Amino acid sequence: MMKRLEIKETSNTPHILFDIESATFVIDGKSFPEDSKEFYRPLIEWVDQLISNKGQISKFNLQFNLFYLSSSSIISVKQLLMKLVELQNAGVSVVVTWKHDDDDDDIKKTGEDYQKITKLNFTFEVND
Amino acid sequence: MDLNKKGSVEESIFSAKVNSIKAAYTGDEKKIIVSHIGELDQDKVNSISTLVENQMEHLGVSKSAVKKIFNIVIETLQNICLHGEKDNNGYQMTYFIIGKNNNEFTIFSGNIVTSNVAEKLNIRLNGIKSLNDADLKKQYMDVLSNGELSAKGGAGLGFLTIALKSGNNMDFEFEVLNKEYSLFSLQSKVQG
Repeated sequence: MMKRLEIKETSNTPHILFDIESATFVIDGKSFPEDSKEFYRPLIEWVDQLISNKGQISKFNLQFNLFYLSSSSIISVKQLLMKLVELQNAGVSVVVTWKHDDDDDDIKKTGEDYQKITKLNFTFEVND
Repeated sequence: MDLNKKGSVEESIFSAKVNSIKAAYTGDEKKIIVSHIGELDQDKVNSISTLVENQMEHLGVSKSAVKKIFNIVIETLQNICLHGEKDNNGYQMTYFIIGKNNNEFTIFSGNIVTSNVAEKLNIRLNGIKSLNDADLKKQYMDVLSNGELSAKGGAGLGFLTIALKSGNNMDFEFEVLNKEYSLFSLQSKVQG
């Protein structure tokens, strides 16, 4: 499987880095793509491959640092997180680090909604 | 249908609507801060949203109000991109205006929908408008928990998001243009 997936940041899509070698899994920036299903599809497929190629990793810590999410992105990210639930069920230890600005209650709330829905292990961090 | 034809019934109704919004923003402390009339695509969504951010920063609007406005702007514009009808020549008749009255920002938008869609939207939006804050949040969580993106990429969260961010200060109107089409106008308010 692909060891590394990187998508550069644009004015309406976040920077993505999924790298097995350095154990770095990051999504950061703004997210309001025209077609969020299409944008998040490679990430979901990537996790799918991780599920079918057992033993690639034992820990998956995905770090989010999003400043803005459109409603269709909110649904797509939820679908990515549901895929992480499958990964967890396949025996990988999954942690989601949800970073937000101190005064950004909306983004914090979105993370809390996800935690409630997915029951994944979430850590909340305030940006410096 | 040719929506861009000067003097047509459709064009007259559309122009009258845009002019009435603009006319309401003359005088002290009232100002149109963003106005886009015409076609919309993702590039324009990007440039308009950047313009909105810059304008808000320039006006010294609080960060939380900017975020609310930005949310509504994106949901509104992307809704139009996904669902706004085009005429036979591919022309998409839309308007997007932000007016400022003292500390209050109103986001106006309009696009063409089929009569069939107008009927469904009317029911959906009346439903949302009748909800209190707790029920709005509940419905939002229900859609988030169970929702998937439609073939068009709609999330079912757009209008709920607009209602939540504006404190359900949202209004809408359908004006019949002809047998097939109506002009759908939406407005929501945020305190700066």
